Amino acid sequence: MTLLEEEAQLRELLAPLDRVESATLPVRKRHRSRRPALVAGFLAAAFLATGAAIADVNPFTSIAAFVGIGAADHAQTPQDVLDPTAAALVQKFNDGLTRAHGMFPGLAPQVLADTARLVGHLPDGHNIYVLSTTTDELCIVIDQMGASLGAPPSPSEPTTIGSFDKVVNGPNATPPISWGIAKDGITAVSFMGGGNEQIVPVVNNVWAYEGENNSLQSITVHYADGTTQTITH
Amino acid sequence: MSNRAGRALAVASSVNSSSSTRLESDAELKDAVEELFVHCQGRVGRYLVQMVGDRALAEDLLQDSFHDALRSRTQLPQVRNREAWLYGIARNRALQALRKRRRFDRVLGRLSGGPTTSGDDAEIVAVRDLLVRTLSPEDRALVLLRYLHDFDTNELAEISGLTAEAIWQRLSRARTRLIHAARLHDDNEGEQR
Repeated sequence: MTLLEEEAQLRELLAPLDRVESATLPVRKRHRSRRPALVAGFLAAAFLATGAAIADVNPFTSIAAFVGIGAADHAQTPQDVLDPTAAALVQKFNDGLTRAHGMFPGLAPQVLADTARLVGHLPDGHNIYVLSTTTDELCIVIDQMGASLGAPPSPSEPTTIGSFDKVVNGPNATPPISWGIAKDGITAVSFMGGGNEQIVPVVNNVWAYEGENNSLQSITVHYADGTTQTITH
Repeated sequence: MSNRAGRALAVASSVNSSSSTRLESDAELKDAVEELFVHCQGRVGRYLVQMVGDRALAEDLLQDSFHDALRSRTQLPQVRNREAWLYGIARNRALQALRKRRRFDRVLGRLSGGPTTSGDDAEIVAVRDLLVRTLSPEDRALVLLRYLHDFDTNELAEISGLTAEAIWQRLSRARTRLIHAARLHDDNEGEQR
């Protein structure tokens, strides 16, 4: 057998390994947390309600909440459609918004399930969706885990920040997971975590980090052009 | 995870590995590492899964590799092939983890080749088992980099710190062993049928 034949045979033999799913978002496991679950509100001031529902039509017209989020700013594809668990979560979230508006349920913003865009998934498999609302806010749903609602990323607040514990108490308690949707052009975010500066890459507008951290207090975004912007709260 | 429909977060596009931009400031070096990582993490992440056969561990190793790369960023201006440099860092992390696991497995007296990632099909598991049974982690790293990630002998020398001659010999031996083991495996399967 010639070297070429041997190499071809080996490539064929190893080919199935090319199908393994890549390791994705890096998650640092640091100090365990027992703090209560927190679905963080987002950073910017609330949008004024426009009340305009946005239809997802073809040809695609940008949805206001997705402008600047390249991973979501496209026509909906079959894989973007919410899975049943995530759809149930959105329904529950909408019910909560309605209840929160008490006597004026008609004023409650509603998350528009048919605007869902799948932007990624956490390393343990939870899908991350972004959705628009009737008030052009950005809703981020992580299936089986939670949802949060707030202003989309803007020049002054270029990334959203959410944080929660998957399991709060008991022997299976897990560290908090912080995540966000960052504007196009941002390559990484950094903040203090576990006593060190943690630099977390942004991929497809999404970043996620597992472990205690102070991203809700202060976060620096790193742009592709080398500039940075620090947002403190 | 693998059964879910969805886009992976990893970016699969390639980065220009022969860039010779002169980097001066620390901030520029940091940015260069981040950019390199963002562009390569899909492939490096896959390589780590192929090496350790455990996605959760591979994800930790990917993050560790990123931090190692950031810490070593001052090397970057001298690096000829940045992709190979990043793969080298990931390889070291994977070998370190496998050595730790080998020690752990010895203590437990386990005979298996290590954990597999749920959702992998039987063919993937079979190839991974064959690699684990036949080759040392170091040779496995070389074989995967050569035949699945297309690094040439000189790049492998850069990644591993071995000479090109040593790489060539190791790959040659590894090829023979693997093909022989695969034939034996096929013969056994044939007899069982």
